[in-house]
Amino acid sequence: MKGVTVLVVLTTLCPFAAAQYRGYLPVQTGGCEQTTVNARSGQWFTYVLRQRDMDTVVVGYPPQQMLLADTTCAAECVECNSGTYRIEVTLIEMTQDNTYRWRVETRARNVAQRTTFYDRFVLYNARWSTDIYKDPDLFVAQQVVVDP
Amino acid sequence: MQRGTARWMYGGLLSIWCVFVIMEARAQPPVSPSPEASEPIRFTQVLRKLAQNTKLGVLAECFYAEELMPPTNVAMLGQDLRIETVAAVYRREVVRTRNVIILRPGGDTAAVRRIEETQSSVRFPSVWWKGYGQLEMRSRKGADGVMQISIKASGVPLSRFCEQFQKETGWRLQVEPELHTVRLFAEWGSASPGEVVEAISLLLRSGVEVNLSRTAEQKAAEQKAAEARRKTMEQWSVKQKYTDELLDGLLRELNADELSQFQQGAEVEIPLSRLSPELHTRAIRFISDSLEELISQLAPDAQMPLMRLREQLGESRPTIRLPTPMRKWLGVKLTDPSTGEVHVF
Repeated sequence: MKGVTVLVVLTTLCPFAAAQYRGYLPVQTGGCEQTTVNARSGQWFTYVLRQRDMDTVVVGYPPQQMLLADTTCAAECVECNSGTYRIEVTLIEMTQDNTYRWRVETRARNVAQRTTFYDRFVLYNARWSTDIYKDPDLFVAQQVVVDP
Repeated sequence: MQRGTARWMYGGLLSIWCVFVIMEARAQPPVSPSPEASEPIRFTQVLRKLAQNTKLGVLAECFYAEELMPPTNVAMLGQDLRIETVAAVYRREVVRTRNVIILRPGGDTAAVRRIEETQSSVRFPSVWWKGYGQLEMRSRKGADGVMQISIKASGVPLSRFCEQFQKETGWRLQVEPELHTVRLFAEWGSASPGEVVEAISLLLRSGVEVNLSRTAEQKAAEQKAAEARRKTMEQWSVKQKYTDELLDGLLRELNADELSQFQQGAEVEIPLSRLSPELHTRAIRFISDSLEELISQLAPDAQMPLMRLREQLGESRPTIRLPTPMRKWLGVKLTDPSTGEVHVF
């Protein structure tokens, strides 16, 4: 009888014990595939940005780590200096290791002499700012050299 | 005459009379109820049958004086109800929108009838439109916000119709007071609120004024969203804050020609050497902070030229680029004094 009581108590407390450890480790990486991109004055050109977000979630008792791919990755242009038009950012590939490849496309500005432009982007999780699984935004800048 | 022959003749005459009577009876119109024997056919009933026969909606203005049809006119309608026949019998014009047939009285007739109806309704309030007033409206709203409404109304005053319409759809339909007592017959399987309004305006030959508005909650929500976006942009770039701070002062430094170019969306640049000392100091701070922000976000290989420029900011001919329709913030242009290469960010 005593043994049964202990078993019932343990069974009842089990979910609470399992829930008492819960942690989260955000790891978002990303950047430009090429350090410098070359373009011709007034011509269309493209370059690629990379973004990868693997979150480590710790659950259970004893704590167990789970590696989860964040599928809410998004990229947005903060400042476009190299293009004459609005920059288009398009997802072109999602590799097997959960890397997002974003293609940036625009038409180079007209220049009379070699000019280096800098475009800025933000890589982020498209989640509410209160979401505990939202990673800090990641800013990257692309150097674009435009020749006449 | 023999007895058998006489009987044969009587029999023949009787048969001929019977055939005549039967043929005469068949020659009568199919719907010719004897006024005493059957209920009179009402206009609203005719309209209901019409609506059932057609897949389109039906809208008409009803007058109580027309509800009881003279038997001869009922005979004209026959069994095969057609829009043209009904319109001819009740002296209505047929107007058709995409999904609705509108039977409207002639302009003069409507004016006279409405006055007569108003007088009679005051004189005989207890019998006027007694037993009428059926009104059913059901609206369905899709996930995309598109609304469809089904309507069944028979002898309903327009004011009541409008009230119910507002309850169902949220569309506030205001009608001038003289038209509040107009009685409607309406039957639609499915229509958009816009179609209903158009059909009523065609029926009444009235103008339509549309007033689109948002609720205070919607406005507040949009304001909040814009504010949140602004705060986000401030976090994303120091240029947002500096643009708010410096732009007015910089515009005051422009000559008339430059200002005109700026207003037309052209690229306008101001060298820092042109600025007043106070504005110059703030502009230098802006360039310095923007440069720091950019360097921190660049790949290490690309940082070197900008770090060099940071050390020689005074000699790099710093210039501020004003915003354009495509670029909402101030920009910076620096020229490397050693290589002559231009850097724009």
